[in-house]
Amino acid sequence: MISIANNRWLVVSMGHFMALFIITQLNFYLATVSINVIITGMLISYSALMLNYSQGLLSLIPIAFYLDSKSPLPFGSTLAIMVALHSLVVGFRNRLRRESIPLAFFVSQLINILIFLAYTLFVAGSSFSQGVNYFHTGLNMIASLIVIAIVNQSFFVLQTEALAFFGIRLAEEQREAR
Amino acid sequence: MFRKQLIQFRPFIALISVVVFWLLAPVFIKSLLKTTFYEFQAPVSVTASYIRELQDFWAGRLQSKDEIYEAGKDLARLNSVYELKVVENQSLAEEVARLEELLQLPSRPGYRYEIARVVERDFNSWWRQLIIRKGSIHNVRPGAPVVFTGGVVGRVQEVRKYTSVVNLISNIDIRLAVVLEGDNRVISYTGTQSSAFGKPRGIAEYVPTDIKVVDPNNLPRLLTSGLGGVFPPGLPVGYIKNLRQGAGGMFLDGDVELDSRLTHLNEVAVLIPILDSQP
Repeated sequence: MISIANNRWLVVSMGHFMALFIITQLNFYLATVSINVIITGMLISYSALMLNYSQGLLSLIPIAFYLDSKSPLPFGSTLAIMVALHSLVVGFRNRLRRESIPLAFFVSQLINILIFLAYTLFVAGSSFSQGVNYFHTGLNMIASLIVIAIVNQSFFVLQTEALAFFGIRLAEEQREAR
Repeated sequence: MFRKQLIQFRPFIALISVVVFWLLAPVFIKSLLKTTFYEFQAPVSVTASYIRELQDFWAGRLQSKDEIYEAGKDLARLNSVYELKVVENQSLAEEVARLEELLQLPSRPGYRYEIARVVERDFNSWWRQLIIRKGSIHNVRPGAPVVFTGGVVGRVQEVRKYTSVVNLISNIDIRLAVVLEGDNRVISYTGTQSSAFGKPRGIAEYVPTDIKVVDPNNLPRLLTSGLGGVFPPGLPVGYIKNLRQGAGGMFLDGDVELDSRLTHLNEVAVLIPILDSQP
């Protein structure tokens, strides 16, 4: 029988997918003013801060493939960006108090900024390099940061509650680990 | 000690492994994964578009009877105009066919319109694309032209089973041969950088020097030329807003203002060529 505790990445991945679905609907309406919100930073932040390295990585891989399947960039670009940023956060998280909400907020924002930079670099390296309007990119980034500022805490709480529904209590596990 | 150090570097070792594996992975594996993940999420996106339609339906139900009656009257008026246009078009088509036969010209390719609802709009600062609710089972093919009531929308980039990805005309990688209305000299049109809160834009290159933009209320209109065989001739593309000296000095370049409705399209039509063997 499959143990949910050992496969918690499935629950987290489904949560990530739901969040992306909602943001896609938001982007449908924001497209009228050419604004596009990206919240991938928040997803990486949750997986990197709340799960162990492998579970976090497993929860992000399907999301990266999902995003890659809809992007005109070479398939695997988002995967490389997400795995790199996840590894970066995991590499530094031992020095931080990772259950702190302000830290989660800060990491989500920082990772999202890095995602915008990484995408811009990928696009600049591809055939449609002249097509990047840096002002527009900045505006999209600010819009994304505002959305993350609004939903970050609720997203973290909802994901943790979803795990708790399956009997996975992250706070207790982290306390025991210390 | 060494083991402890290795654990510390585990994330970075895993990162390098993933990147190396990905670089070495054969193309068919990447292609299979891309298609699988796309098709896996497609029903969710399509369902969301049906839910939006349901919302519109219920929003429509909230209209008062007077408003619906007025809308019905307007539609009846439009219908009678369109009926006249259909008769006019039929007689013109017959005239064209007669002249083509008389001059022994090769017949022009015919198209059928496959109407498709827009499922997703992905307009960021890097690319602009639409996902529409028609795919390979509806005979949509990559490269097929996509139009709407205001003119050209773009070109089909990828085709899946039930959905297709449309590259918008304002994208930098779209290039078309266009002509000015009432002029048969070919001009090059290409998409350009995106802009927030503004109308979608493009660039016209190789504009003859005798073309002038004088009246802002009567801007020169660009139409598809039919060259290249993708878009049929005469479809509206946009208006030349201003002109400046081109890079070579022999021609002018200009900014093209595209239809503002491109950013909030709900329905488009994919042009599917009618083959001679088809009834």
